[in-house]
Amino acid sequence: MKIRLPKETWLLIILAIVAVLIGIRSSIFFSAENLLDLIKGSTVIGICALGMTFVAMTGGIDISVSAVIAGVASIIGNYMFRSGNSFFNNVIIVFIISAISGAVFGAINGILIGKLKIPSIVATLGTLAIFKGVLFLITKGYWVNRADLPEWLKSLSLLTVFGIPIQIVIFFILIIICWLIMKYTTFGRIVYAIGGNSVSAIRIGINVDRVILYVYILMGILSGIAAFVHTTIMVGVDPNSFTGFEFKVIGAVFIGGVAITGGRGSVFGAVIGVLLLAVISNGMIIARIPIFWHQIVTGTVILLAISFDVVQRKRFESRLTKIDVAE
Amino acid sequence: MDNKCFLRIDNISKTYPGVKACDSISFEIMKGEIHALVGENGAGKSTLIKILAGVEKPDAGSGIIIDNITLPSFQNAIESVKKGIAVIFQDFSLFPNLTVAENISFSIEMEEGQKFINWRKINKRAKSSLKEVGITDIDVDIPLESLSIAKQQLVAIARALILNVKLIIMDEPTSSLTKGEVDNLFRIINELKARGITTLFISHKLDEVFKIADTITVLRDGKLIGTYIKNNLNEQKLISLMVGREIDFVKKSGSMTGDVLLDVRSITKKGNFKDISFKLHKNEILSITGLVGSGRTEVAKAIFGLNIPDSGEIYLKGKKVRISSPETAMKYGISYVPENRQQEGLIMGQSLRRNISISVLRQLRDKLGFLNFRKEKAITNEQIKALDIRAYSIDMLVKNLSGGNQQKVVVGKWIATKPEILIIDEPTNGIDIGAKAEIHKLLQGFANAGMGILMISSELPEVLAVSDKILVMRRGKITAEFNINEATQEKIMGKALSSA
Repeated sequence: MKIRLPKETWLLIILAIVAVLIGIRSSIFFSAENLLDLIKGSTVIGICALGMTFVAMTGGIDISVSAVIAGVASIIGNYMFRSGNSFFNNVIIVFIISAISGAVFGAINGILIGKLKIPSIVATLGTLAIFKGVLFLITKGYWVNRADLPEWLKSLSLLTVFGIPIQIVIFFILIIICWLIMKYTTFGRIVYAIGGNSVSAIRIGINVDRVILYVYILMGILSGIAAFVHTTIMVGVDPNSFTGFEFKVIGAVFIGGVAITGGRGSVFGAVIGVLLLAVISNGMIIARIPIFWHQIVTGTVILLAISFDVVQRKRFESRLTKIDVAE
Repeated sequence: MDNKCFLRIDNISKTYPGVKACDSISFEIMKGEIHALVGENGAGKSTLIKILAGVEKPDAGSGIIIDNITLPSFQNAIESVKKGIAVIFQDFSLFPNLTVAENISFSIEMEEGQKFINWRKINKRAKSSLKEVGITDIDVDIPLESLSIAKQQLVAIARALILNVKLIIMDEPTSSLTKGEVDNLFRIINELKARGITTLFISHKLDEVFKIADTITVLRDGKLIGTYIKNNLNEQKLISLMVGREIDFVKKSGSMTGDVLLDVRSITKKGNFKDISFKLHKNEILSITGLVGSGRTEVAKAIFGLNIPDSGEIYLKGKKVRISSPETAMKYGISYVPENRQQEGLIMGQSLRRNISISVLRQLRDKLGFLNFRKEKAITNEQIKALDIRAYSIDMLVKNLSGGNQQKVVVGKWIATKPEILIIDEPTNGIDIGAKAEIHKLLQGFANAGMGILMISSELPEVLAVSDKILVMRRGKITAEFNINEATQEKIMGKALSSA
């Protein structure tokens, strides 16, 4: 029984099945409180996954995301701490600073990868180390405490819109924006095109270097916003708390159906990937599975998802070259 | 008929490190004509096309003259497109992951500076452009990669048309097409001509060149030999102009063939081939021919262990065998030179010596198990001499060799294993006529020395020149078997097109 449904639909079905299975096991899973908490907890990874989708679509990867978030979080943490009660210590300015700092980090990646043509995995591995190092130099490992942060931040962290936490609202808005970019702007289609065949892209006159720069800047901006959202959740900044972050982001994006070589996938797929990982994590906590199993399970899920995708592609490709044998 | 000149190529030269790809080439392309560009590999055709596409810049002193304006070069691909030139490279330069409509409309959307995509407009534009090339049944909303190669090529042409093209340049447009698809393509080219659109195409298939071209320009070793009206030439003359010497395909002297090496009985594989039986003898060249997609390569791969049949038997020198992998096949003395030499036959980024020695690494070990480089050099030089491979050093990268020499490297790699049975798939695809003749001579030499050769080929002149026996396949089955003395092109084509 071969049903030809888009990958995203299959993912939703799997997500629903897993959720139902967990819900049967434990009644607290489907409570509004738990679900909202779950989604709120995945917004930071989710926003980064949006950016990572663009990057992966060009066939690249950004391993430095954890360092970028830590960096932006430290920057705004310090800013809020130092500007104390000044007028300039308000949500709009801090949000803008997050976005711009993220963009700067992203631009560094973009120049290394787009202009200098360093393979993305090498470049971002390098910037991961460098950003982390510079960060440590500046913060010396100290974090910014709740007490040192402004009141507006504390109120923002609890803000809800029709009962939905503000962080989820921001995530949702960003999902829509990214989806619109990918589907309805020339820029988005150029990103797809580059992932599909970068040589053809050059041949029809696309300035591939510049587009790649923009893609990494976009990734940086989204990482910056993710740092902002993270700060509103934690109301504190611990620069060491982001280790291993890139693993979840990248894993989610690939579960969501973005091909390793780029050119295929969607924003929705990445979001479902994020939710799937969050649901599985949540399920394991509820089921009281010991914490050291969590990473094993998450890793296995990611591997299975990617293998499934690879096997499907191979089968699709072999079907393309069939001989029409006479009877 | 408007006889004005559309584009003049004026003294174009292009030098790469170590080689002058184009040397002061000048000729004219007239409006509305079908102009063929022929020449051996390395003659400079692809480089010239890249310059016209704006993807490469020629040396100083070169000029492209359009509408009486002389340009030293095109700054980039977009400038070339703006002048009305559309180049369709052999890989079509399309995006497999985007939809058909997107592929067609992409360039023009970019040219118009559109920031946002209106999907309905794109689909409508694409549909009307496809209608111009006579396609009304393709769903424009599906990914391009679901289409056959022939349909993808039409999409590439539709894309050129939407840009108000005045000159379409095609590089080897028929290399992946069946005969019906070739006829369709030629019909479209003639329709374009009727609309005043000029076509320039590169081709190695001289019979097709004579069928459709008005004018033929010949390049040799980077220089222009001349531009001729088709009716003033015939195939023989054209070949000698391309090559600078007279070439005759030497027909195989009807030599005696020896014992049965390979006996294939009724092998069948679902979706690939059905009920295939034949015998290959020592000293024999057995060709399997037929249209693209008839299952010949699938059969060849089955004998090499790459495409194991569902049923049937294979006997090697009288003993029943099961060839379950290429490694097993090699143990039985079978070698396979694949159709797609760049993807399946060579490691492009590696040197000549590495590519040749890779099949016999075990023989190159010394007592401690390390690779003996002197032995590697000896084996490489042996093959270079035997096959007359032209390279300036055994360390040079294989990707810098011409197509003919690359093919010789693949052959050399497999001959080094001293096979008893050589399977060779499209031995001279994309290779110029001089190198073709050399490879044919080599194959005949191997056969005379005792090898049994199974050759897959779509080129009938080649098949008739080289084979002792010819099998014709159609849609996965063998439709005819001919001895060389009773075979003609018409008979073979007849059996390739129908099973009657």
